[in-house]
Amino acid sequence: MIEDELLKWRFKRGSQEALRRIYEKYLNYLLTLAMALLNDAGAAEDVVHDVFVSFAGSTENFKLIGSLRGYLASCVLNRARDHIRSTRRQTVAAAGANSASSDPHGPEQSVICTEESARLNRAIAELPNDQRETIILRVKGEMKFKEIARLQGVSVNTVQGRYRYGLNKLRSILNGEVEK
Amino acid sequence: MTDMNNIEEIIKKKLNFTASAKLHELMLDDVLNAQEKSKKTKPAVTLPSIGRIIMRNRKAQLALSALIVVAATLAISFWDRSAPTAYAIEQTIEAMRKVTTIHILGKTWDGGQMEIWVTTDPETGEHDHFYFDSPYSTTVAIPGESYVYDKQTNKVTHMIGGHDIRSDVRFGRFIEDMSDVAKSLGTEIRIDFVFDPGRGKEVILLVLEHESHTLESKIDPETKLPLSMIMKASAQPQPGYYGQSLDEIYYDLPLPDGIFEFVIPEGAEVIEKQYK
Repeated sequence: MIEDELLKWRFKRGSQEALRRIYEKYLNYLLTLAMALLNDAGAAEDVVHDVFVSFAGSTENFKLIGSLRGYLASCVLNRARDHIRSTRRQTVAAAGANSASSDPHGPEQSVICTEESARLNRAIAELPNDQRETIILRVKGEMKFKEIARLQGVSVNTVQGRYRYGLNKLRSILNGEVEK
Repeated sequence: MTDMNNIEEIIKKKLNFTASAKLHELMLDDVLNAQEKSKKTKPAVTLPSIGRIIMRNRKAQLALSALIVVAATLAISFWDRSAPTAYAIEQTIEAMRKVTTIHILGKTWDGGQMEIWVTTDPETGEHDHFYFDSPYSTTVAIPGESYVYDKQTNKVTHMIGGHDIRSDVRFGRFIEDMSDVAKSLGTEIRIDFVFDPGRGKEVILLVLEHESHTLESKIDPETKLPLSMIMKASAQPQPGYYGQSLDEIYYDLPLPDGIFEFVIPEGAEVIEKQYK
């Protein structure tokens, strides 16, 4: 987008206003991606915080050819994966302990959402990681299958399959909830 | 909920999380501090002069000579005042400096209608007042405060103080900024004369081509002012992703009454943000 190209250029020149605008523009978008990937308010905050802080610290060396929105979404995805991997390790280490919180609202309600959004997110959280990632990147991240395939290191056909299976499963989860 | 498209639409529209005002402020402080810190950080060791390294190496000397020739050629193609292309750009920059109001009608990347009104400070090219409306949001910014209305969540963010949203995009300096963007991307602005069927006359076409997208601006050959600015996606990596266009640009029109007076929509939640 025209605005993003100008923001990138001004950010590269050290403009605080440009950084502020990028933050304002993409904070809730990235938070939504992180929440959908992690279903944990605290972890989502940490991921988005780290992405923005790292981005802000890169002013001097910043060089981005593609879309700013896509770049930030990829950063969230990578950090969310790191978090999932590290949580998995901790869970294995502390087997039996009740470690993860799936409450979308933190204790201080730092992440706000509607009940419908929380319900939808709970359903998405039941999907396998690969399918969840694919659906979120495609629908909320507005990425092409080809780009998701590159990020996941698989073929476009595999991504399309994950997307289809994921949506089918999500539909049955949500329909099951309605029937209850 | 049986239709797959329906589920996609539900996720797209209903799955939204918002940072609380407290989280927003805390995180923003950290982000701005990180930027400041990175500006102050210098390399701990003094490296030998790059010039000295190059001049000690024969191959590097040849490469440097070639680089200077390429850079000089590029500089001539950008800025040679005798060339008709440079003449057009300078005329446009000059003409835009005299503009006081800009009215823009355009489309968002997904085809939604958008409208922009700005007044510009002739000295700086920054916006005095800014109005933006699209199917998703409305923004009104005046000196010292801004209102951003998110139509999808029915929330108004009222920002007072530091965050000057008016200066985010400088339409009054767009062509100058376009030149700088071209340089920062390592590309150049191509200039053509084309017949515009919609306007029934020949126009000047500025084209900034890049591997991911192309920015085109049509210039009126008489007034030298931009008539339109369109961002198009190239074939890679995401064809069709970009598509924001400013289709019609008008200058120095009388402002509609109350265009910069924001009225909070009924039932909208208002979030106040005070900047230092």
